Amino acid sequence: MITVRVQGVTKSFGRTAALDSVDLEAGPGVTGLLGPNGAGKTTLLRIIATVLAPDRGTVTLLDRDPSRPEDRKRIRERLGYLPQDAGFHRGFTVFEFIDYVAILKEMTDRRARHDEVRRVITLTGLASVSAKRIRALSGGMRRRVGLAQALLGDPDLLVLDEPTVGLDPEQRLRFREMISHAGEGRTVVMSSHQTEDVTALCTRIAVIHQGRARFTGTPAELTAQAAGRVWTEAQRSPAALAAWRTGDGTYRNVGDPPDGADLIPPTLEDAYLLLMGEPELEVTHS
Amino acid sequence: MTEWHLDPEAIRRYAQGPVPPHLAASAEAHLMQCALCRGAISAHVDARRAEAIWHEVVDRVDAPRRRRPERMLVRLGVGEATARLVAATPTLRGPWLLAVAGVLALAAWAAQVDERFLRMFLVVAPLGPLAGVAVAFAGGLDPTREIGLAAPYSGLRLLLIRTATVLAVTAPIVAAAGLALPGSNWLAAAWLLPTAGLTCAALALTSHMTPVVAVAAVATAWVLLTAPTAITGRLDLAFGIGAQVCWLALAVGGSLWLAAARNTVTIKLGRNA
Amino acid sequence: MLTRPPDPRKDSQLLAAIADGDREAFGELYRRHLPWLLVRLGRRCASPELVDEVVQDTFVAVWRSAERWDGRGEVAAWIWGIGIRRLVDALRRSRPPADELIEFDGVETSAEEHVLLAVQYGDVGAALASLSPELRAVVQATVLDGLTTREAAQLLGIPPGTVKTRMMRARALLRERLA
Repeated sequence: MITVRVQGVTKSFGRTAALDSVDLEAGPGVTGLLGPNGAGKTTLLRIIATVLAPDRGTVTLLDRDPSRPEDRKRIRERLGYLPQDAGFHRGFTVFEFIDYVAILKEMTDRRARHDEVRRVITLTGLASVSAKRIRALSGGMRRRVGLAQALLGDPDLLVLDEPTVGLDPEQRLRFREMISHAGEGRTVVMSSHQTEDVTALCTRIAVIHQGRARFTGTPAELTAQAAGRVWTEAQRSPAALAAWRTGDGTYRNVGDPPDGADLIPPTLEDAYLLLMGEPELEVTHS
Repeated sequence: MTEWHLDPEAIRRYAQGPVPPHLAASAEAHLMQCALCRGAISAHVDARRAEAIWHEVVDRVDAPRRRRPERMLVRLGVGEATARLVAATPTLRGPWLLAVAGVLALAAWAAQVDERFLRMFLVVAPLGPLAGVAVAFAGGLDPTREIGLAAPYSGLRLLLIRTATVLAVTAPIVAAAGLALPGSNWLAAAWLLPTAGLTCAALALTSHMTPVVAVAAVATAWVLLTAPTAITGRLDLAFGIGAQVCWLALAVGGSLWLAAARNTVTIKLGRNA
Repeated sequence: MLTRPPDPRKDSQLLAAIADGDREAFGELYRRHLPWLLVRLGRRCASPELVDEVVQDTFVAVWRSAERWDGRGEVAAWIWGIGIRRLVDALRRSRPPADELIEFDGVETSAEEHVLLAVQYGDVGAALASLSPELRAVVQATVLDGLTTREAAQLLGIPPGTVKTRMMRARALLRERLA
């Protein structure tokens, strides 16, 4: 069941083409957008969150067309969105802020609304701080507040823009757990510029680079692209696109291996590097 | 001191009713000091009743704190949810209101000094509320804007709520400044209808441009229109009876159009929306 | 209430956490103190709805004024102080038509209870048992519940002067019995 279908979507800001004829499909589970900063991931996510309209192309969300006002409203009723720099009103407590968003999501009955706010607060582990001001919380907790508001109303489509950026390893782990849990029975589309997030969470990936989708498929398929192109050597190989020293002192080389090279199994990161292409990367020196 | 506890039978009898008062007194004195026996009573308390009370407590404890304006609105019959939105409008900030008051006070004072400034006051007066509307929608000042854009809440409704709030707060400030002006009293009110007309025009324009741009367009048109009349002393062109009727028509026309088109028009609350 | 692993914190620590806005600590405090508060207040007011309301008000007050606890004595005593005063206020505002104060007279003291009382209070308990219900109520309100004369008067629905007289009589009788 395809929840998100993006076809030939193009979007420009002034003379810059943020997205150039991008195709993407997403269904239940977690779909990841991988790519460097400025690649167009945020623009694409904003389009999927119905915040932005494309210049060209078609978008179908939850079987509806977001370019039509009535459909757009219906989509938004089943949508949760965590933007990249989610801000909060000064002085709001966690509960008050989520309650405010709940009002924007048209939950008018006070009792039911407060019950729902409490539900998402418990779901994201914020119960002990629900009466605290958001500005008094750490970055990791604030991000959780952002996730909590996105989960209001139990949406069918969850759009998360760089949800794990800036979190320390422990916070990131907990956040991944929550995202993974959220992805059960729901469509989650998230972006990241770190391959570990994607490897850990996503059932499908799209690699976005310079406004184009360079790859769409499963993580396994992407990794397979690097098969036979990763080898280990005692030093940097001149043939390598990229090479780095590993923990045991040898070098991991990615690129076109010379004959007789000691091949090793590739990771998603290797495939990502290869995909990002030759011109952008630094040529390694021996 | 020996560890003395109430036996289960005593606890049951105490919790469930008929017990000699002195036994009750003894039990109560003990319960003040003994967490174990306090715990033992919970078996005799109706769990549903405990749960129901907890639900009420939690509701009151969690309930967002209401400031006075919000409470007043609710008492006036405004929906509780709407009142919350009003309270969160990004214009009800002390510093900004002080700035508006300051500018107007300056204009009023200047008007006392020189008659030309008096005319300038009338030109400047509607800009206060208009600026307030723009500020209420300026992206930089509304931290939850992006989340709000993806929410199903009617953009038009939000627009109207915020605009009404802004006007309700800024209009009295302008009025107060106007009353400080020398001359006949009609001047103090001459800016009201133009402000209403301009605001409705700006609201109607939000179907094609963001509120900030709409306000800028309307404000610019206003200044271009009225500044010459003020300089040449022909105030009646922009503020006379005939002109006031036009402003009224603009206000009514704009409102009617918005009301009629409310289901088909999309309010551009954010850039590129 | 959901079952969860027991919270090891002492009441005083819970209260400190509540002052900091910790809702889970609040839930734990509620769990520990609602049962006895409900029973104890229920023995002084025949209207369950009123008792529920008062208990509710009490815990909301606990949440809001947690930082104002002076740290002395038992938290339970502090909570009781809030609760009984709320009950007095509520009764003053709306006296339910039925008699709010329950009297359990006519109940025979069994030999067991006598022994229990002797262990806990010695002769004092037995002496208290020999007081009339009216005198006992006054002793309970002022001594056990910690109310002032005026508050006791409001709770029992009698004039403060009567409270004072009854207290004097009770003291005199007790002194006589324990002499």
